[in-house]
Amino acid sequence: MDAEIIVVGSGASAVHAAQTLVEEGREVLMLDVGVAARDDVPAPPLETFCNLRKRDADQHGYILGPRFESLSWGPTKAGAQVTPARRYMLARVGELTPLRSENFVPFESLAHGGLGVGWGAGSFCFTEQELSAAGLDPQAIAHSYATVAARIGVSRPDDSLIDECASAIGQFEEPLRPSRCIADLLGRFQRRRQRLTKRGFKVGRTPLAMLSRDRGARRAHAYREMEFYCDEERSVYRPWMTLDELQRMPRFRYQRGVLVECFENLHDQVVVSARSAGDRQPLQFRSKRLVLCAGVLGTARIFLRSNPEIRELPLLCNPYSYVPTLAWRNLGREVEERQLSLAQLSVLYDPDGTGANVSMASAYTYRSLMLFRLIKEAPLDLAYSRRLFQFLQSALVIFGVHHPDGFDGGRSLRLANGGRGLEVDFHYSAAQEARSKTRDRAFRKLIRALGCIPLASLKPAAGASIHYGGALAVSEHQDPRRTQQSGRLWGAPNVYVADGSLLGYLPAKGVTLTLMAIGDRVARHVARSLG
Amino acid sequence: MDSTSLISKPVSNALLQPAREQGQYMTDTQREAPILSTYLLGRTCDAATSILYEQALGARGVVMTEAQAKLWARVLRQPRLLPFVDAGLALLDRYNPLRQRIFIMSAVLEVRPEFAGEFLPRRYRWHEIGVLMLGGCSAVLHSLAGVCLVRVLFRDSYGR
Repeated sequence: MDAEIIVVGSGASAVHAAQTLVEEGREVLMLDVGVAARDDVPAPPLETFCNLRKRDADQHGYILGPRFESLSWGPTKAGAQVTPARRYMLARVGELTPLRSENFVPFESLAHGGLGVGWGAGSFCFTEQELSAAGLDPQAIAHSYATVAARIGVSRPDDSLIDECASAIGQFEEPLRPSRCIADLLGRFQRRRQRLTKRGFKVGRTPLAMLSRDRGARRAHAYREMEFYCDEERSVYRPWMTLDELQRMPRFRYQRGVLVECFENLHDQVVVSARSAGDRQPLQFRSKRLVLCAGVLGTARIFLRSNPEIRELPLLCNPYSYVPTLAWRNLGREVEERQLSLAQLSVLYDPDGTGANVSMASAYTYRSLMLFRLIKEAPLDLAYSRRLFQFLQSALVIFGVHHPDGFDGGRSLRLANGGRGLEVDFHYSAAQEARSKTRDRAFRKLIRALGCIPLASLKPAAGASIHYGGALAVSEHQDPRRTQQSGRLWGAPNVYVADGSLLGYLPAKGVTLTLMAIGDRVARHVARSLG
Repeated sequence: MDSTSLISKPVSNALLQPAREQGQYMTDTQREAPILSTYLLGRTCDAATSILYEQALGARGVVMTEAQAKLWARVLRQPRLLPFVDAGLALLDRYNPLRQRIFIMSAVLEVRPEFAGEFLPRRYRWHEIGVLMLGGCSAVLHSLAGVCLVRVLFRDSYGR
């Protein structure tokens, strides 16, 4: 036996599952491709974004990249905003886990820390209605929300959002300090609160996984606006930080460079077949329990390879659009030296007031993403575009709008390339498209009421929301393609799933805190199953 | 002027240093950097910025057809054509390699500390906003004239 429990993956759910298992006294082996952070991208000095821009002669290294990889030309694609220091999170995906699709462009990661490397840190709890719709037990998951929030530190959202976004979190960090532009929007919402609340909107500061006070090796956030370029002083939580801590614990082993391919569930153990990510040599591991946390697409790959009689699985993904806007009152105003690049404002839209079908938008300011990404998009000469966007950027606020997703329309994922890759077919139903359109219109109205002028509404291809779910959703029926409440696969009693695959409904709120909570909850079941 | 022949290397400060000190041994590509800098910001750039531009072009592998290379050479000889060609292509073919070269120069200037003030947000006075608006009108006129110019100069690709 190689380990008592094998955990596959090192993303948000994997590290919290592993942490809970280790705390429960279990011995854990984590298998992961674990693409390491690049060592050729220089770390920026500890300074504010503006000061670095004015003083650092070597800023091109971390802004454009050592090979100028940020200078992509052509229409803006999903992922264009990923900065050089974060690009490793997408490395080797096409080579090791290819995916074929004409209508689905997802993000996957084989990095050390998974997609959490580029997480926006929005930390939302799902409501009881949302959890029930997803097939999860709200009471059981509430405890796990509190556990993981205490581990990572979550800033307090505004009171108006607590019930919908953070009801299960016991202890908060202090609320984030919004930039002047965002504070203006919040002020405008407060003045129109009654009217907008009646229309189903709630607006407030976003709960973020960042510290307002020093904690161990992590420091309080200093508002240097460098969140896209580095994890300075570990103020904003990333899963690799938990992985670092785990690697210092005697009951935890991390084996990097392993791509898990399939499993075989035997009577009292699981045999895990894998390949070395380097020389592709076959590898085999044995454990009493296996916990799959490889992300929805990664877990689906492993599951389908292990169950050749099952041809395809379903898939969920939030419909997503983004709306660049101008908060015109801020035009030509100076911007504070210190501010935040992450989402500072969340808008919930619940038109039927049931709490079960809520859409959500997050607002970001633009400055630290640089003008060069914008100016090529204007149908004007680049010299004037530069002048124009320099003027506009103090007022530029980007709203990312997510809608919930349920099993509707045609979606399927199946194996392709002789089992090496996946093929995804993904369509939203006409009713869902129409609902998203109506809600996008409502959001644009709200945006105007907050004093912003929407400039466009851009809809990237399905998959760009980076929130996936539903491939192995929880069910009470003994279906080999489904899981039990505990995360255990109906068809493989020694194998558990602990990622977004469990969600039979995908709320619009950011899913990462829920993934961590799922990791914790499933780990408790796994530990209990071993007696 | 074939940028594809340039070897893509990571930018190193050691490489920039001699140029910072001496500003000599400039290649054709390095010579076009000050022209583009003057077009974009109204100021010329130093040798270190030119070298960074050359490396960025090499790394991105900007490839031009023979016709595009000819037009580019002409534009560099007569920089007054730049705003018209840039604006015309912005309407006719936004992601043309000629515009890509200007875009790369703009990004390179943005990451040079001496030009940061031209890109970071700042306070605007009313008269500056007025000047910007007038600039917008002029940009539209450039676009209209640019479309005609590009159609004449690029008859094979965009001519009617």
